[in-house]
Amino acid sequence: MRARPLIPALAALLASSSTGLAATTAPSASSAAPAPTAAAAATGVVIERVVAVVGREVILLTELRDRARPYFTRIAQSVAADKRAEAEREVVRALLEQMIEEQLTRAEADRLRLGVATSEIDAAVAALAQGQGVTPPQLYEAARKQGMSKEEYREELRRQLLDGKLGQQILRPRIKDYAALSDADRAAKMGEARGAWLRELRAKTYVEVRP
Amino acid sequence: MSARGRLAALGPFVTPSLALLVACGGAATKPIDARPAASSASPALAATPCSTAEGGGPGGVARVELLGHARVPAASYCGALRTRAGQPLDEAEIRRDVRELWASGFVDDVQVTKTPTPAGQVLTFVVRERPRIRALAVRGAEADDAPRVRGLLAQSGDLLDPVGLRAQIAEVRADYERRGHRKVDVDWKITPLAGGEVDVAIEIAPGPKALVSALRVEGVSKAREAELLALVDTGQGKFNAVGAIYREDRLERTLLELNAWYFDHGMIEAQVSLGAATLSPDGAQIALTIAVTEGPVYHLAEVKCRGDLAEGEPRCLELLGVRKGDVFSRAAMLRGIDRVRELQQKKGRGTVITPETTIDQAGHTVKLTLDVSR
Repeated sequence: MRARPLIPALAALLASSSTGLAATTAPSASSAAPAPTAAAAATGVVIERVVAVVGREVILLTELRDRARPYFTRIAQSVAADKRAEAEREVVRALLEQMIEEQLTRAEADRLRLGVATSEIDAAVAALAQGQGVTPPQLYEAARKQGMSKEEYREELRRQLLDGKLGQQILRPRIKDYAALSDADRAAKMGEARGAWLRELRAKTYVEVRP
Repeated sequence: MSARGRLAALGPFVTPSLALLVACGGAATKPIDARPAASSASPALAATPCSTAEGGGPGGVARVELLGHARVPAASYCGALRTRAGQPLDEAEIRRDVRELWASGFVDDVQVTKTPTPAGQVLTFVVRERPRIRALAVRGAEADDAPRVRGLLAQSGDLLDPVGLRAQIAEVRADYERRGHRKVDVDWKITPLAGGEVDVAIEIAPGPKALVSALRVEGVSKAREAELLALVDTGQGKFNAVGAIYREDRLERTLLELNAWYFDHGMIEAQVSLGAATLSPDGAQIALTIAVTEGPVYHLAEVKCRGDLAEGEPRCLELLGVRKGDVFSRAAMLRGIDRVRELQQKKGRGTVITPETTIDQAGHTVKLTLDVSR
């Protein structure tokens, strides 16, 4: 019997050729190696596997599944039943792409020795809670109801804070006459600069998506 | 639409954009050891038990096994696993184990399957080992270049490492570029063979060496172009000068130095970049243009010292050496900070010195406060 996935919906989405996640043009060991026979020989439900390789790091099935969970919850609440599969497929495709971008970003941040301290995350939580008129525990509880644990919520904040730092240090200097731009133009230019920067990172990094 | 945009279209979570905020011991394991190499390179198609336990119950792990190993002994892989029979199934531990196996560098793929049995769950770690390079051929390199190129690449007998190979190819390309070649094309092909081996062929088309035909600085009004050109590192005429080869890496360094020059002459908004590097159609000549946006000259509107000062603010300001009305200079400020720090050290006082600057973009002024603390 061939291995069956633990999360049929997610695995089916990942296996779909319509994910639009083109593998790198660089040759890979997996494409070069003879067809694996051990995996075919395995039986049981697949509960973990590599879904993407980014440089020397991997993105795992359960990591993608955990990140997708709150989106799937939202889709279940807000999307008609006959359109859910397509919506979930789109989420997986976008999430995996985002996770690849995050890994590229993280590697660059490490190279530049940029990080986010726990105190910075604490401060962000406090500011967000204050902005919404709630306490930090209430904020975590709201996140939990949307399918994110406290740890996942803080990790999401860490990612955003790091993204902000990279924006200030790398993207802003790339924008001509940044100081003279309107807020809307700054946002647009930052978006363009981010896209170009990510394309540069991707071009020089080994990226392979494994359906 | 970007990945973020597509996800954001689902609507806001409790995590809003932080753009505004930003603007403001477990079981002992062993590292995997490939020795002794197995004689057979064919992957194992029958599972090898790593650990077995009785009475784990339906939710517990009754057996952990390995499948697909070939060169590396099963015991080496098994020794790296924290997941053990007799324990509850722990997704986080499995995730860590998969990462551990991946990080070993011996495997190209890992997956974990779970099979329920009356005694508990059977977890199978299925590995696919990286193929070994049987032969690595380099074509297109001149005889003089071949040994150097080979020295940058993997060797026959190494495990195929796609990430490493990519970095090596980039280094080969950079090596040619450092020697003035433009339009360097390096292609490679991997041919799978039986027995878990591959042949790798590297094809190099170096292209001609391009010589600098012109070097200009555009956008200069407050500085003098000749003054800036004098700061260009040419390696005593070996590169980045008219008639010499173009070294992109060295010009990038020069751009940073030019930026620093502007910072030391009050133009803190200045931006220096490579405006253009235009290669002639035959690839033999390259025209370089450095683009500069100078911006206004900033002056110091206020200079203060505060905190754990060894001999009071007047002495701190004297040592700092920059005064109200001066053109802002980062280098002058840093030299002054070194002098203040030296005094602070001598007197056994605080040596953590943080320059705080407040920039008035309308008035083109900078307020500088030196914060000294222990």
